[in-house]
Amino acid sequence: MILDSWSPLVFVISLIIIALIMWAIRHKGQRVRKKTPAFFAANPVPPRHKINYMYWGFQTAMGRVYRVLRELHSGLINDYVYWLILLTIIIWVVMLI
Amino acid sequence: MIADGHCMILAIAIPLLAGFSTPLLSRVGRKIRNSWVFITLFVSLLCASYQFLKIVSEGVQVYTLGAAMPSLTSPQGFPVRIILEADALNGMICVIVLSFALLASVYAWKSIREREDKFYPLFLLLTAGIVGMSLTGDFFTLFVFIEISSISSAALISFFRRGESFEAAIKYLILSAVGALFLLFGVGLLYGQYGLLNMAAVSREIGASHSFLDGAALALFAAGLLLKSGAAPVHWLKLDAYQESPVPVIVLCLLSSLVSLYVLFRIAFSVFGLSLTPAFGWVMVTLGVGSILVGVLMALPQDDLKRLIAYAAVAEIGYVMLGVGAGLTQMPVLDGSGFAALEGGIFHLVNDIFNLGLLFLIAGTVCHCTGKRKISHTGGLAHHSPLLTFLFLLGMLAISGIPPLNGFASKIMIYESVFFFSPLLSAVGLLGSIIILAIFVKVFALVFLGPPSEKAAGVPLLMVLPMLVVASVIIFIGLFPHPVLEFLIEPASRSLANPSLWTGGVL
Repeated sequence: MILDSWSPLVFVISLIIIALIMWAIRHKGQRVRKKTPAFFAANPVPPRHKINYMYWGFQTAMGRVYRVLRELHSGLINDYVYWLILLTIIIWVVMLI
Repeated sequence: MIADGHCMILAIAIPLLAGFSTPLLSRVGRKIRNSWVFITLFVSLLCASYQFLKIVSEGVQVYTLGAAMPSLTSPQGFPVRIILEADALNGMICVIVLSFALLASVYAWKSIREREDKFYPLFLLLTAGIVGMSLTGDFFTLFVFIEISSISSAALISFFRRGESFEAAIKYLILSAVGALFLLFGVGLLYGQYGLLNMAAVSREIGASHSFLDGAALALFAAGLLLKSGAAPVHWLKLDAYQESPVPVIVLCLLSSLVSLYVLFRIAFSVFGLSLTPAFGWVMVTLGVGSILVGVLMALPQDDLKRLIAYAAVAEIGYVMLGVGAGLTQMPVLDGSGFAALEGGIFHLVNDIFNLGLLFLIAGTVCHCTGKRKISHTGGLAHHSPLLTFLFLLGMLAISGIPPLNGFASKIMIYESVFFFSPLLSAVGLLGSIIILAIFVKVFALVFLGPPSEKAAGVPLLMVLPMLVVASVIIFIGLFPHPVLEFLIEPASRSLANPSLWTGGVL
C-alpha cells in the first residue's frame, strides 16, 4: 500500500527544499521592479469580477443534472419521508437476494 | 477508587445530571455556570479517557447496571438490563466526542450571548445522548439515547428563533422521529423473534444465517441510522439544521451523525456480521458513491457558507461509507484489501470529525466577524485575520485530501483499497476530492482574498483556542499517520471486523 511507504516528514522536508530553491532563483532576479497594471489575457481587468460564478461553465454543462438535483431537494418533509421508505424497501429487497 | 469501575456510566451520567442542574447555577451567575459546564465535560472526558486506557490494557470493557456481570442479570443467565460495552472503536469515539464537546463549550462562551440558561442544559443533554449512543450495548437503550439527542438537537436548532430556524427544527424533529420509529420497529422485530434486546445476545441467536425478519430489521436499522448520519439519499435532515444552528450545536450534530454511522457499522459487523452477504456491503458502497456525488455537486453552487460545508459533510460521509462498505462485502472473513478499506473508512471517520469540525468553527467565526452568512457578501478577511486565513487553508487542504495532512492519509487508503473492488470507485473518490478542493478554493477567494472589508470585527481568543487545538490535531495526524494507524485505527478496525471480540465481552 502507498501509505506503508508514505512519509509526511520527507514530503514536508522536500517542500521546504523546493521553496528554498525557488527563493534562491527569485532572489537572483531584478531588485527593482516597475509595477505594471494587472491584465487579463492582454486586456485590462474589469473593476469587480464576480467570483461567485467561477464555475458557471461546469454548472451550465451539468444543467440537466442540477435541474434534477434541485427538484429532489424540494424542502418538503413528505418527499423526504418517501425517500426514507424507498431506501428501506431497496435495502430489504437487496438483503433478500 | 470508588469510581474506578464506573467510568463508563459516569461518562454518560455526569453530563446528563449536569444538564438538569445547570439552570439552577444559571441563577447564581454566568461565569459560575460556564465553569460548571466546562468542569463537568472535563471530568466526563477524564472518565472516558481512563476507560479507553483500560480498554487498551485489558481489552473489551463491559458495564452492567445493577449487577456485577451480564450473566448475573437473569436466572437463566442471558443478559437483560442496560449493559454498556466499550472496545477500541467506540472507546476512542467516546473520547473524541467528549473532547469536541469541551471545545464547543469553550467556543460557546463567546458565540452564545443570549438565552444561555436555555442553551447549556440542552447542550449537555445532547452530549449525554451522543455519548450514550456510542457506549450502549443494547438496542432499546440505543433508541432512548437517539431520542434524547434528537429532541435536544431540535430544540437547539431553533435557538436563534428565526423563521428559518423554526422550520429547520420542525423538519429535524419530524424526520428524526420517523427515523427513530423505523429503528424501534426493527428492535421490535428482533425482540419478537428472540426475546432479547442485548446486541451480543441477539448476534449469537442470529448466528451464521439471518431470517426473513432479521433482514427486515437490518433494513430498518440501516435506513433510520443513515437518515440520522446524513448520507444520501436521506441527507435532508442535516442541511437545514447545519445552516440555521449556532456553531457549537452544529459541532455536536456533526458528532451525532458520525456516531450514528458508527452504530450502523456496529450493528452490521458485530450483530449481523456472520450472516451478511456481500449485497449489503455493495448497498453501502453505492450509497457512499451517491453521497459523494450529491454532496460535491450540490455544494458547488451554494452561497451560504454553513450550508456549503453541510453538503461537503454529506460527501465526506460518502467516503466513510465507501471504505467501510467495501470491507463489509468481504464479511465474515476480512483480509487484504477488504480490511484496508475498512481501516481507511474508520480512519476517515475520525479525520472527518476534526476537518469538518474545524471548518464549521471557522464558518461561525467568519459570520461573527463579518455579520454575513453569504460568502458572496464577504471579502478581504485575510487582511483582518491572517490566523483565521491560515486555519481555513489548513481545513480546506485537509478535507480535500492534500498531503501532508490527515485527509490525504485516510483518502489514499480508501482509493487504493477500493481500487481492487472496482477502479471506478477510486475514480469517483478522486473526482469528489478534486471538486471539493475547487469548492473551497472558491470560498477562500471570496471570503479571504480581495480588498479589505471595513466592517470586520476581531476574532475573540475563546473562539480561536478551540480552532487551534483542532488544527494541531489535524497537523499531528497528518505528519504522523503511522502511529495513529497502528495504535488507534487498526485495533478499532479489528474490533469491528471480528464480531466474537464484541460478543465475547458480554456472553
